[in-house]
Amino acid sequence: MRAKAFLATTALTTVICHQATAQTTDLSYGQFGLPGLVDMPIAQSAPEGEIASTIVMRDGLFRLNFAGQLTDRLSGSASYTVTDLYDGTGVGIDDGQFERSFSLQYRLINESEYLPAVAIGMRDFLNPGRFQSEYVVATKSIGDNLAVTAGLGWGAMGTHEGFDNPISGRSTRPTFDETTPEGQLATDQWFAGDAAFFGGASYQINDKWGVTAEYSSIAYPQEAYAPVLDVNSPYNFGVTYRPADGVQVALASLHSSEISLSATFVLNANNRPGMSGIEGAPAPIKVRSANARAAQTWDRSALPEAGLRAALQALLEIEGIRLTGLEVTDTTARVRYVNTRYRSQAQALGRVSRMMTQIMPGSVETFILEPEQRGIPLSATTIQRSDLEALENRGGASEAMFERAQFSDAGSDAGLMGIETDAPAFSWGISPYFTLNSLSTDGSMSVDGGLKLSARYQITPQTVVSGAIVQSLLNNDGKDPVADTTPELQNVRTDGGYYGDDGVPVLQSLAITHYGRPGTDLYSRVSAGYLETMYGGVSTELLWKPVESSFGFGAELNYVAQRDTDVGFGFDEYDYDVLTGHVSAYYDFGDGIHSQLDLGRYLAGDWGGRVTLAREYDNGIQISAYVSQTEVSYEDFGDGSYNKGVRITIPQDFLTGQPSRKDYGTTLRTRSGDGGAMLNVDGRLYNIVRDAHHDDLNDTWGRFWR
Amino acid sequence: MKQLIKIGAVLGAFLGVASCGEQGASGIGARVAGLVTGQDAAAAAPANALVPATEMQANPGKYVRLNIRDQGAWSSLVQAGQNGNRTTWIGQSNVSVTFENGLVAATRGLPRDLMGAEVAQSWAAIRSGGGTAERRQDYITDQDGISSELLQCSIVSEGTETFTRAEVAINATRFKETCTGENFTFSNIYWVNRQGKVVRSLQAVSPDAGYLQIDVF
Repeated sequence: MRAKAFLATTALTTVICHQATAQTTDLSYGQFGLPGLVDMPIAQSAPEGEIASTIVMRDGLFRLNFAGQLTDRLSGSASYTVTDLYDGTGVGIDDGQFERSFSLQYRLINESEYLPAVAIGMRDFLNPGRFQSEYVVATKSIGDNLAVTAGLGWGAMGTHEGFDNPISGRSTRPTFDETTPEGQLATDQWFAGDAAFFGGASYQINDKWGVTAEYSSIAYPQEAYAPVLDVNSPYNFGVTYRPADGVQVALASLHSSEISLSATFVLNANNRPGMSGIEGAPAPIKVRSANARAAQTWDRSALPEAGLRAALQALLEIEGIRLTGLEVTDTTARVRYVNTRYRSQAQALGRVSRMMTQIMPGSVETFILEPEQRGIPLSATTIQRSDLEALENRGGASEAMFERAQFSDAGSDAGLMGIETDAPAFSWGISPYFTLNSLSTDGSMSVDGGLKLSARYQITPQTVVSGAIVQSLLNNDGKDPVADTTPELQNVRTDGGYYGDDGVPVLQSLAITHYGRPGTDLYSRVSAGYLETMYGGVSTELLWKPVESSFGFGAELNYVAQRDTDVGFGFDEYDYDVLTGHVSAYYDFGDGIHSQLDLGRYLAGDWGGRVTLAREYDNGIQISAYVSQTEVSYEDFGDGSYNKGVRITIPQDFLTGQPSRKDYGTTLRTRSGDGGAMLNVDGRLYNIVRDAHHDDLNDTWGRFWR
Repeated sequence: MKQLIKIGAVLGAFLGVASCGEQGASGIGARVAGLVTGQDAAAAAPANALVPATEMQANPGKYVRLNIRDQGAWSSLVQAGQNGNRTTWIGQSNVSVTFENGLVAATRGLPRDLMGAEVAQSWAAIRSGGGTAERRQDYITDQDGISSELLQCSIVSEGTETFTRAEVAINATRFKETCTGENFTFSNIYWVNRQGKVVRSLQAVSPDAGYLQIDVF
């Protein structure tokens, strides 16, 4: 129970008591990212929306896990492991090999008074990897502090005291082929081969300390390409300590031969540290007098339009909102603006409306608000001023306002008085950068970091020249990149390691971009120049996305040439150009599930498609996963024929409570080879546009009145 | 407050008009109109200066003193807006509180704001010396939505009391309102003077924002 208590002036003690049910201690996270014992899983799962990152360290292994409780029952995790592996002979050891893996677990049965929770799971399930295992596990709580687990494992989890597979017809598990370590979906291995029992228990001594013991079914056999770990016994023991909310530290003894240390950091997307935010109170709605409301016209001599414009511009500036256009008739005011402060466009709508009530003539009853990004209007929200006056601070105001507001495509520029901006046309900045690249195909990951000088020059609001010069502080080894495993294909990505590795500043990008509105519900982008580190040329995009539709459709066509590896102005080194692009369908399923399907021609001229699924929380946290496939045969394609990746994004205001449009994201992807590679062009339309459309506005509409 | 000062200043400077409904805003605006031209409003405005209780006492109707108990923060609020029988007051800490007959109907700028509420039945019960009331209170959630809480309240008179504020003895009837909803329960206390005005109160906002102690001068 959470309670806030204080002592009243009259020495009376009063509390606001939550009636909510008692909450149990957070589950402990295991070494493979999801809640678990030490190396073994449990059937219970974290609360929906929980995101955890775990670092595991022991002699010969370093692992970074990201896990998310995607739905009430479905958990997923991505792991990067740097580990010692036995070499091809099974005797020697290769140090520091890099492995990526993805895992899923689904809770089939919820725990009840007499029945345990039961879950099914797959570790490292996409590829025939080193850790690949499948399992069925049951966990039962006994009292508040003790939980007992038993399960059956296959694959790596079937290697200790394994027995014949109880699933008939899957008695043999295809062997792991080191020469094709990644690429094909490893369905043949799933639940095949020997199975073995595992089990364990965990006991939470108090809020801070807990202990764990398990009987592991992973034997870590010494064989070619297997992870190195001496196994003297099947028992693992752990101690967990929780120094603060959302932090767990665990020390474990593994198989009586190794000690591991791990740390887990937990946040819940449904439990925002900044709570509802700590931005300052908005201006109250200024209510019109009865006389003002009854007026049919406004007196332009008493309140000239120029004064109105200047005042609204100054009022919106207080809110971090830039007024770009205004049209005021006797009864209607239409404003166009750029919201630079609020993650929620709904909140910006509310703030703009409040400011309009301060100043608009009494006869102006209808407000039309048109948020703009990149010089183009994204939508029009029509609000009745009398609704603002009637609903302010009332119970049910949020829902009522959303019902009464009308959403449509933005109006034309005709009639709109443009507002001169005092923002300089030229701006620049220097910032540090840090990236993790998994382009290389030898299993290593390259880390890069340095300084980035960015500059932009705005010719018109829709047309901007922007560029970046990058000085890497780490990537100056001048070493050759990795071997090319797809000799049939142009090295559209595998030569990435050659680019900008001379230790001198490079021209990462320099391009002119124009955004447009060619028609109703249509949005366009044309970019030309040095679009990204490896490619220059022309990129064009057209998006159809009605404001009230959950569906969008886009097409992108690019003609690009491969740049020289010195990342200067030349295109001579490769003499490679290609017509690449795709058609894209976007659909917002509601309940935070978003999807995207891309079909088209990739950079190497290969054809294929990509599916992206995202779980987006209304407060801006996003977890997305994608899988792409190309027509290139597996033999040609080798590594990474199934490209896949996971991306996590956390908005800054989630963490700080201060309004901001910034976010932090990281992508974990498998090796990206030359097949299935897309152009990395900046400023694709869909995410820019949907931000101010009906569905996205609805997601954060609770902020309209804040 | 800083923001409101700016708004007031903008309105004052550009329009040069003031109507009855915006005494707070234009008043502030008039005082700090110079701020609008590039000067730092934060530096110019007195940093979190709490108006002394004696001055509040000497200017009836001008100030509300707020103590945000969970933050240990005091601030003096001035009127910033009027909508029907509801008045919004705002203070230096950029927190605003909206009252209907002295009952908190909304807050802004707290960690878990009361976005809106219907409190008319509670006030009616206080006016009749006690009774029951239903409240609806809307809160903003961590997912940027609204959660509504329907609360059943009972209001009882706890007799008359005299308390001293700014060296002035005040006679008031003390009322206790206990509200229970599906997710939480709280008690508000009101001191109502002979004119039927809430002069002091202790009112719950939300479990995350805690209680407000409110003195109306």
